[in-house]
Amino acid sequence: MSDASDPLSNILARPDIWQAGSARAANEQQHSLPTGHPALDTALHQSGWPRGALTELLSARCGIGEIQLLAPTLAHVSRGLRRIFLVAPPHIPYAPALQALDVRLSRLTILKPAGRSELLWSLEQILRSGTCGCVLGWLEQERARADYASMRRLQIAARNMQGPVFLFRNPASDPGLSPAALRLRLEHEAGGLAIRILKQRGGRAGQELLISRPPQLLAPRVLPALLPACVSTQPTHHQTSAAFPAGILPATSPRLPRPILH
Amino acid sequence: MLWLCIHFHQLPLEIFMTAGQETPEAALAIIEQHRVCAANTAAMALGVRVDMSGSTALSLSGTIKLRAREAAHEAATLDALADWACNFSSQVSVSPPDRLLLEIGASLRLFGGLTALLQAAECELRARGHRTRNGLGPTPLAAELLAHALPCSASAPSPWATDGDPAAFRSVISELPIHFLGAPGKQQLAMQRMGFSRLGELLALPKSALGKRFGKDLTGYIDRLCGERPDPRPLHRPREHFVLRIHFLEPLADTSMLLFPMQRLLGEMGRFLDRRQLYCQRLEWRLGTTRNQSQVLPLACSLQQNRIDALLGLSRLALERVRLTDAVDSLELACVESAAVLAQEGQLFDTEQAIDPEAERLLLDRLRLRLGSERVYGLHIQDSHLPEQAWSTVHEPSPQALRSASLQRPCWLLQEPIPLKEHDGRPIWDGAIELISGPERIDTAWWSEPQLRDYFIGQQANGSLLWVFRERASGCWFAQGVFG
Repeated sequence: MSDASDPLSNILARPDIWQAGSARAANEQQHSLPTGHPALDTALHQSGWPRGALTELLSARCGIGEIQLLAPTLAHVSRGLRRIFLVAPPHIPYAPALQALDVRLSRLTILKPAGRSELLWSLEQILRSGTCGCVLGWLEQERARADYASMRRLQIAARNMQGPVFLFRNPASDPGLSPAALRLRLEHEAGGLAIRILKQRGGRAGQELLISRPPQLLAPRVLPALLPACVSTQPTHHQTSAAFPAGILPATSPRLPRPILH
Repeated sequence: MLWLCIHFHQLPLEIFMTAGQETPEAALAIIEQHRVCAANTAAMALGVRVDMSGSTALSLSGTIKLRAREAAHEAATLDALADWACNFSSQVSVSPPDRLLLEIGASLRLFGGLTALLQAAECELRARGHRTRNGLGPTPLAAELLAHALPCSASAPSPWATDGDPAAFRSVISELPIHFLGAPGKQQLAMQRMGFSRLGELLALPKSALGKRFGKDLTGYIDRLCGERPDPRPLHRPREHFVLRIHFLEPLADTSMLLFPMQRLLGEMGRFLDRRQLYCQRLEWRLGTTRNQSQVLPLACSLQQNRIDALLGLSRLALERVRLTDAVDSLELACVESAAVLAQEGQLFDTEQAIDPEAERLLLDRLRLRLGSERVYGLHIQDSHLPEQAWSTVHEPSPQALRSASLQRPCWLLQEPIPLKEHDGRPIWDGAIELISGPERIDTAWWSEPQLRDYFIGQQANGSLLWVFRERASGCWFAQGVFG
């Protein structure tokens, strides 16, 4: 196969020929960006997020660990020179938390477009210019849904990008047909985020995997039976400050978690 | 010394332009004090003559457009042309109302001779839509006189100027009829009565006799004309800031028609800035409407290069947001802020790290222009224990020192804390919230509005992780964040 005159190896060396089941070619690394989750990398046929193409994330609500899924990618991209655009995020991206995830805030730019047309226009401009490292867009709200034609426009514009493009969409409005190169369904499951690969270009779909939440987030540290009692037996704020000057609060019970004072 | 006088004899007409053409095709006459002071060829063909009254001109044809003379605008245009003339000479002076004087003797070698220089100048002026009469002379006054009496051009330069012979010049001057002197009518008549018809006859007379008869003004004029007395002219100082205005012959009601004049003005500005090695940071479009009101379109540009195509694109975007209340009859471009161009370092290899900072700036400019600059922002960390005050928006984020974060903070902060109902000591939002960890007490702002809150991480029945707190003073529950 190493012989250059071999017609088969000539054909296989072409960049537009994809070999099913072959060992992942070295140049595929250039077309993908590792997700930072080894299990997901294994399931993805390009072993990472596709670069220069759309990745659709279908999730019904936020707060199930979707940012945690992207956090390694965001941290990696923000260490480079390129910007990360957050287009129409559903809530305020909280700076201290993002910094705790090792995302450099100086690379983040947030866009709040006023309506659907502005949202799609901004996304297209960003993708077309190709200067940014990563784009996250939220198309899940009722007034911001994108039809197939606009998704197709975005997909074509995304070819200029060198980084991944993540678009959050609502599965309720999912027509099942999309030009995106990779589509994942995100759902909550006990202990973490359940991912199902709905589509990946050039690869097999249907894999399911679970990305667990960081243990410190879910470690129970409150005894439920204690809480109402703790709330009712505590003196009010004014009494506290009178009884314990200089802001020192004693741990009244050894079973009560000690509050963190600022 | 060789002086070139450029006489813009149609300047009052040339300051008016139509949106699509360089020079107006329709018959146009300029009125000053109810008299026609200039008329274009189309108007001349209809019989309009200079010094005719306005009503007579109108009675010749109803299609003639009459416009009042805009002396201030003419002066501004002449100033801009003087800036342009600095390309050809280091000594440029403006001779109002419609002449420029350039000392080109020192520039001949640079341009490769007189013909080449005149050709270059004529070509650029024609592109700007100006028609001129040029005169060459050894003194400024001589150049002005010859521009009026014997205009020359690149194809037919003055014979004396090519070999630079003063004697040849004197013979040319001597042949000029006496009325080109521009002396007052009384003197003119006296000269004719004395039998003078050519300038040479006047020059042959002894100075003292001439002075006694016609006064010192005339002898002084002749001395300056022949270079026997110095004739200092004020040097033109190029303007520091670019401002240029176009008047439209027909008021424009549609913004799309403004693009062509915009392109022309931006081209002028680009040449202006290129000469000074500057780039534009902020510019203003001022649209003058027929009701004498002006609409200002400010445009910020963070590009660090002088790129006219990018500025035109931004202007087009800004124009899309404009609603014209009245028709526009003048367009002015002002470069409000500029900075010196810095040499850009490129990268030899095209790696992922290699980004084009100009393309990124252009993208941000476009986004800010369309969405409004308050909708495009970065994040900044503030020193505060109160979660809602621990961050702020910034126009352009700057690197911040990383600080250790041992506390659990949610990625999403709700716009406002949402009050939650309570049941059995638990907060409720789409079902009971199961409290997983906490409390983390935040007790701050005791100096203004005391805040004492116990924060918990709670899980909704559908799996979302929330950041909730109980206000100690009121005992109410609030949701403040979502762990994404």
